[in-house]
Amino acid sequence: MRRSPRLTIAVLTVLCATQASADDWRGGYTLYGTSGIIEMPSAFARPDAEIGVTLGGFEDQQRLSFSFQVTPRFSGTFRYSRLADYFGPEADDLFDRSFDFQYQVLTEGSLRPAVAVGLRDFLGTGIYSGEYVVASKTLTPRLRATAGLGWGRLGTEGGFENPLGFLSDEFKVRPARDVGSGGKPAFDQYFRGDAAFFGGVEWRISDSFVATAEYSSDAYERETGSGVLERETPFNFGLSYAPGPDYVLSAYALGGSDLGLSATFIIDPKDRAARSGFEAAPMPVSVRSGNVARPGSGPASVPELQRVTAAALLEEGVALQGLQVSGSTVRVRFANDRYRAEAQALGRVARVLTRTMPSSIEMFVLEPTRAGLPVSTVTIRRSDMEALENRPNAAALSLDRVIIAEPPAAVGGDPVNVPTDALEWGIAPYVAVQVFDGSDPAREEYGLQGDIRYALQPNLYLEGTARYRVSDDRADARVSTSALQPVRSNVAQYGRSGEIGIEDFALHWYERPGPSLYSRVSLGYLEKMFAGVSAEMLWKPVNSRMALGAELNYVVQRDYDLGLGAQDFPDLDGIYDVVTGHGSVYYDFQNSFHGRVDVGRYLAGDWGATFALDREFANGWRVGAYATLTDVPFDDFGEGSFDKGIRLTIPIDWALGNATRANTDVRLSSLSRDGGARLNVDGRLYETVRGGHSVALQESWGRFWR
Amino acid sequence: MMRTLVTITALLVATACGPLAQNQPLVSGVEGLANAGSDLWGEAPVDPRASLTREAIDAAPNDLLLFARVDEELASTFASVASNGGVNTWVSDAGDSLTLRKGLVVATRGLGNDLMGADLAQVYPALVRGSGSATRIHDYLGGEDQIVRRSYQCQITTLRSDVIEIIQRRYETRVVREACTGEAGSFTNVYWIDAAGAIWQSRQWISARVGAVDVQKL
Repeated sequence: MRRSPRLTIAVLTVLCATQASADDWRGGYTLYGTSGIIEMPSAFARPDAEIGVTLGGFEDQQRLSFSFQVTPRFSGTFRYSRLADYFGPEADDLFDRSFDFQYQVLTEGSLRPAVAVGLRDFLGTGIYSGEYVVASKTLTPRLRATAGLGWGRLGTEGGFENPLGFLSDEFKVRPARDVGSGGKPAFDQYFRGDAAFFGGVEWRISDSFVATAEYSSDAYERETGSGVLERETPFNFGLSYAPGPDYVLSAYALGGSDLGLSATFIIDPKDRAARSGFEAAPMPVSVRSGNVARPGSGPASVPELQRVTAAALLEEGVALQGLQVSGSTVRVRFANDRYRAEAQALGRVARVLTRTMPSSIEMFVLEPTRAGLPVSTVTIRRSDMEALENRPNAAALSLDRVIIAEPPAAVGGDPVNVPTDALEWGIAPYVAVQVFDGSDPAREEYGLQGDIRYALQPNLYLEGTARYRVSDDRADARVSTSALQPVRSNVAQYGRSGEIGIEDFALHWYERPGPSLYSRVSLGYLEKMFAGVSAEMLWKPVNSRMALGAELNYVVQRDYDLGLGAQDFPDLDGIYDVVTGHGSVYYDFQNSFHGRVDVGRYLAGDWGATFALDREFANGWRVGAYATLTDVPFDDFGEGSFDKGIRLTIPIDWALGNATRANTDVRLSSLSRDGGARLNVDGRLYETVRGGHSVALQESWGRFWR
Repeated sequence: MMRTLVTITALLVATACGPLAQNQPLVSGVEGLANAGSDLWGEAPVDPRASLTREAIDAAPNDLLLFARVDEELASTFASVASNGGVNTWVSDAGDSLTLRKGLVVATRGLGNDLMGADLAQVYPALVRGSGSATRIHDYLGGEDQIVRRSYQCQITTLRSDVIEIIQRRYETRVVREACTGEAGSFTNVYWIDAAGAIWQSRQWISARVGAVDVQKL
């Protein structure tokens, strides 16, 4: 009863072939920026970690959506919409934020359809609020069908009594939404009230064109009721053009009366255009020849070795901070200012040392620093560098042979300090764009920025930024309406057009108070809105995935002109000062998620906790969400009820392929409210040190030989 | 607003100065773009093939080779700068490097999607034999900074004999083809090998995004 292996292989090949062509078809994005047909969702998930940014809409409504496939089955979408005449023909445009979730309960099988459950606009003002259960199936490699059951807004066309009514009569009626200050989940609404069927098909006409048709269960009840738009039929039709994996352009006929357009830009944070980067090749390893010292590599004085090594390291973008020779060991302390991955800097430093060190030196003890603090000790044998360079699988082999250990507990005293430039400065134009704040989709500020940094010691330095603002004043921006001290909501009052303002200017002192301990004290103008003193302590063993932190600050709210003074608040009869601080737990999960909880007192004097969960990629990308709950009542907090948001970190080297540590941070849905606000002091310890610790080094070790 | 941003971006290139300005994402971003575009508006590089002479090659302190990506017009010269266990590393003025073992490319650096390393132990003997099969394993950097290993099965066949001329010198060679297939795709390399087994000229595949490169020993 032996089955022919050849037949099995043939069958597998056929299966793989259909699988491949189905995989190749990545499916579409809706006008809501989610995975789906036109306005209706489908049960297909996007590829893991895919980010889709969609601008779509029709005459009366436009939606800018940010969608992220958080896990292979779970996706989330944040949306900022403009709805014209939503409150009637004479009313102002409505700008609205909304969040969606979708979870794929069942993946697609050979016979089984994919099944997903989703919540649309589940915690905003509820304008797009709707829930659904949907099933989708790839019928042929070019045809997909979707059918689903919707509630809420998705149950308004052809709605019938809720089939969940047999569970409880409560399901039959969808209670009126109590929006309040918005921003809260409406648990009493989900899957309540009338339900309706929806469905549609996607037909892949060619490799780049897909035609779509759907029966929509969203009747646009309120909009058609007030006469701002018409829906003559529940059928929508569309045509999408996607010549590659990077974008989709679509046009739609909506409800027989509207022309819809959308464009989706697709980002895969797991991949980059230049995976190994365009930076120059490293210095090749210089191999010692037997026991004979190479010419010029005989015993040299330590100052001479320092000078030669510092010059060679500078070529690699690395600043030498200390070099000490004892016996056959050299200890080298350095600051990597060029490579995002510390592993890449380690590889380059070790290669330079094979060229500059006398052949009697066998052990390289490398101490990468951040803010002058050694953050780990990485010991590499010179003979391993010689043996493994250009060997197949060299990265894994070298990682097996290095030792990553705790850095020395003291900052000074050990390696000889090499004088480096103490004063650094820079002048450049700046642009700061505030997105989705208040009633404007984006507000930009620009001008000229000056930076200065003066290092008294590598771990003790003055650092500051001043800006000359060219763009107009933003003081006309919405004035705070919260019942709290305006610790964030009046940020627009800060800075004046045509004047120089101090963004921050502070003395920072970093230390190693004990094993696995790091400390920071900052004194001065800590951020745009607050000045004072900030003290922080972090416990983070080099090989640990967990860290604990504590921070205590005493700050005074600064003057609106960004000068040296404090703002006088008439209703306080003086200045505003506050003691604020947090205890923090950080955990780097093995599955690329990173969690963080901060508990303590916030800037407005409110007590509470912030929960943050990020998905982090070894290439520097981060996508995460956070929420802060404090003892401020939702009504006192104002719009949004509590502070929450989405944040992205985009590494510049990922985008451009040049070697740089620079990032761009984007915050979506931040409302700059006063409850749950934290001090924005620069150089907090955790992010400062963890790039040099085991987890980060190992995750990026593929760059050691780059 | 778009126009404002464009104006500001242009200004950046003109006015950003000082080491700390490099820390601004906007500045490093624009710099990266400027570097990427420098081929377009920088001084036009000179193709070495136009000026290379045998005298210049003989007078050069290091061994030289000529390198050209198949998808690019320009060639450049690489100089041998280091040797480690029979593997030579060659570097160009632009800072790219090429690492060869007996004429086979085992690593590149600076091409954007480099070959990080390669196990070609079976390939060279089969090339000298002029026939047979070999397994090659390539190491690449993935999008998340991890090494991804790709394995290829290769068939080696001798096509013909050929007399080639490299800057006023003639070599009698056999043209040997190496056709490889693997999960990640397939490619074909071609080598011009003399009777002593030296590879004087070759077209070798680097990675999907770099494509093939031509290498000529000078």
